Amino acid sequence: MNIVVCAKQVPNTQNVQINSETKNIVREGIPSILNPYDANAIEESLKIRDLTGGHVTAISMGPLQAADVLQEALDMGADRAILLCDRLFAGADTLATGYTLSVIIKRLNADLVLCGSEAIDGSTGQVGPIIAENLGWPQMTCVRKIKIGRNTIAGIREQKDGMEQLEGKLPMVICVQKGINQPRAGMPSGKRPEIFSADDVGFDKSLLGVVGSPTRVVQISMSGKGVSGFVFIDGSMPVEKRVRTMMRGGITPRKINFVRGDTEKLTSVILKDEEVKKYID
Amino acid sequence: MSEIHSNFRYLFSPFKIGKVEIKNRIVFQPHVPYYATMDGYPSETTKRYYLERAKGGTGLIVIESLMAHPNGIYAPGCICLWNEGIVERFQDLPERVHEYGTKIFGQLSHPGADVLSKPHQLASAPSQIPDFGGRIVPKELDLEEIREIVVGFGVGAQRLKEAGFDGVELKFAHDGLLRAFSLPAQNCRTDEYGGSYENRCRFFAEIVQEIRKRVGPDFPVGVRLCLDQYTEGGITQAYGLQLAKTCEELTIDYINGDSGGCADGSMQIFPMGFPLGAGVYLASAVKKAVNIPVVAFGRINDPVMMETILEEGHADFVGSARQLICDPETANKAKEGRLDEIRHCIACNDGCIFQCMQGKPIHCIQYPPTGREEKLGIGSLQAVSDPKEIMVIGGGVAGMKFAEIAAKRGHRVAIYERNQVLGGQINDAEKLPYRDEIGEVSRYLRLQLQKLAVPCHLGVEVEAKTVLERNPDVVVVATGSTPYIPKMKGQQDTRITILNARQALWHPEKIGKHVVVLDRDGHVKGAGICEFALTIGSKVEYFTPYEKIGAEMDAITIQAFNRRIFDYEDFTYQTYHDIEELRSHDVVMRQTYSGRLTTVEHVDTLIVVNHPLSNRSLYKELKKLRGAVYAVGDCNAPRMLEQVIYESEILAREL
Repeated sequence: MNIVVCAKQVPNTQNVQINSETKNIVREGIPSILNPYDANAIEESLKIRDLTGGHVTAISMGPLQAADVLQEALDMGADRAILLCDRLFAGADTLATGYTLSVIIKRLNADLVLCGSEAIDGSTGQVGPIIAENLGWPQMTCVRKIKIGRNTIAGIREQKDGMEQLEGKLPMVICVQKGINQPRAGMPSGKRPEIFSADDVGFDKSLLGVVGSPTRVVQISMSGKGVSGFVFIDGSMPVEKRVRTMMRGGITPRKINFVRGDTEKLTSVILKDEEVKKYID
Repeated sequence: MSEIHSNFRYLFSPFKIGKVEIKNRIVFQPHVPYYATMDGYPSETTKRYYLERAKGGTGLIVIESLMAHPNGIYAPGCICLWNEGIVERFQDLPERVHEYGTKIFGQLSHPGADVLSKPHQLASAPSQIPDFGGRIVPKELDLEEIREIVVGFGVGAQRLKEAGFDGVELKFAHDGLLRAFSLPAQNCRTDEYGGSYENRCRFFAEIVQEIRKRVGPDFPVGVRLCLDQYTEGGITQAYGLQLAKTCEELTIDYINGDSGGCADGSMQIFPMGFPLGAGVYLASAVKKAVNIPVVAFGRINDPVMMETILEEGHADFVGSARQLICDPETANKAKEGRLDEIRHCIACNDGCIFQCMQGKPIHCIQYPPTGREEKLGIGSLQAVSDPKEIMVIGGGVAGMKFAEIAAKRGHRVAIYERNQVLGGQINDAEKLPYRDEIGEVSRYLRLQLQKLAVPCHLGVEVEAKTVLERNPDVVVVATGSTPYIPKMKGQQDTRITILNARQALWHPEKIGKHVVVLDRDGHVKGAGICEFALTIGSKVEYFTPYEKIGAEMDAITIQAFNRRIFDYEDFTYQTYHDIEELRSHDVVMRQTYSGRLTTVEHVDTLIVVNHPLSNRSLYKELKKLRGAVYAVGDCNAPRMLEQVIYESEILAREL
């Protein structure tokens, strides 16, 4: 089986800071590590390779120093590692990142793509699904266990109130949870990651980096404490609000403005929205 | 799946109510199934129905709303405790339930103004005020009547004890006299039963004393308590907690949670699309306020969820009515780790509460044996002595249900489905907003077919000659139906896009800005397609020849639907209208009685929801060519899930 595993270099979130102007995470002076979820994805890819035979390629996108995390992957036992490094890739949001990675994955003729469920810096959990969508492949997210069958691959997904088992055929993208395995320690492998630039692979350059990124970060704030899985309704709210909150599954209803149109139109509408503008200007 | 199955630490541990030990935490919630005789005695169907839930491993069964006094009866078909010889007529039920280690309580009730039979004879209430949202004007109770009713509750409880019941429960819930007495908005009495909180609770307190006097301190007496009525003037969460504390002071042994009222059934019997475990937060609040056992409620349809509720400490018991109507073996299946075999209630409300509200016996759309336990209940499936090879053509619900039952009996079944997926029209139906849970119907069947190793050949269009070549012993044609739009005047020349419901659901990009929906079906399909178009930003005008939106929809589902859809400013509707003709950009509608015409201008899309037509040609062809050919499901005539599943199960049991 030809497995591609995606890895990301992240700041150690023990003490993360956000730049108040760019709304991006300050990476200067913070030690960088291999995203822990990705370490599990690498471990799982090696296990599957050892079981079925084949080849594991670790890929990442980022500045040159991101080669460190790929070195870790190689030392753990990956057969090959590729870093996509180019100023054209810089400033990519999850959409552009997903696109970029999907192109190289297609190039590598992968059967199976493994990703960590999320990265501990942004925690969007979007890149894996976006890769799958770009490739037109099925996907399983939040996977706690993978079972390789003769023709199928099964994944057990972790959900809020239980586990769910899904089954599908390759090619496929699987995003794994931390509890799936215990990543092994690396041994110096003597291999080095290869560095690819935007010109080395056939990209549509309008979809790369900051140009291909429609996301505008409006605000980042720390989330509140996790809540129980059951709906909770504030009994002091007026009757109608209690009922509507219940109907919407515990979410306080808000007026939704609906806009039709292509990505470009929608982006421009969003950016013109008064609520959003407050944060941008 | 064994690694998924975690051991249930709480769900199957015993717990006590008063001095009565319940073997596990699963409670079958009280409800009237309308199986009793018209003169108010439990029938054999009633007994089999409850016994089946005991057989399935339930810890505690609370039966019915038993009528405590002739002054108040919901409708004929409710069990009346004052009836001559009622103790003897009950007696074998507790005994038979006890054989399975299950405990059985009886719920005592007086409906007050909330009678269900229409027209009603005479309803009574604390004051002459109809219940919230009700149209029945009750009589104000005299003091003598109040005393008689109090005694009626006491005698009723005594009789249940004599009959071998393990406890009783008082209905202080979404309807009934006890609740009405407690509310200032419905109790304007100036005597000792009205005014202060103490006076408003006097009726309840006297009933509890009367019962205690007759059954003693050790016999469990619980209360089904409404914890938020979600109605202006009704019980609020704060008031519910106050009442719960009063219950505890009055020596009540447990609180069984409940919510909603008659003004809005969707907050009482939460329909599909409402959160699972909707009432858990209310039970959780009570649990913090009192020191007696609490039963959680509200769309609890899965043992893992049940375990979570107990583990997180929200309640001591978990109550389900509809889940155990849909799968009486939920407890046993969970205990044995057969989680995949549990059929989850989807809260369609169609077979159970909707029937009950019309005073008709309840059924389950997914599970035909409910209400037919004697013939179809647990253990009634007969293994076949001469397994036949059966070819099922069509992998919709009818074909899958047939295959499941036939394969369980030992037949060698194979399904041939034209599409790449099983499920048939379920795949359409689950795309409607708030209707995704209907997918459980086919998910359950798909899993059973997998477990039974029934080969499902997908993407295979079967022709008559293929059947003749294979020559199976039996052919079951379950080819379903196709959406159909009758010819309309002006259809050829119009520039309006005409879609049927299926096309609209799978091709939202074809739905334009201004949409007209013509609903000749009257069920969820027509109403739901409006909501579907509205959610993608269209302006929708709904027309139907019937008297209301969703004329065939169950009364509770439509309440929730109406709440959502009338929020859209872009939604309008006209009843008693059908289509007259189509012009290039306009739709002309006709009022069905007066013939008056209305023109809807500048329409982009017309969605016609009409009844589909059976795909019967293969069946007819095979019938001419060979014997042992049967048809099930929409192939016979397009119908609802309940009828199709029933028909398939019966055929599979007979072959």
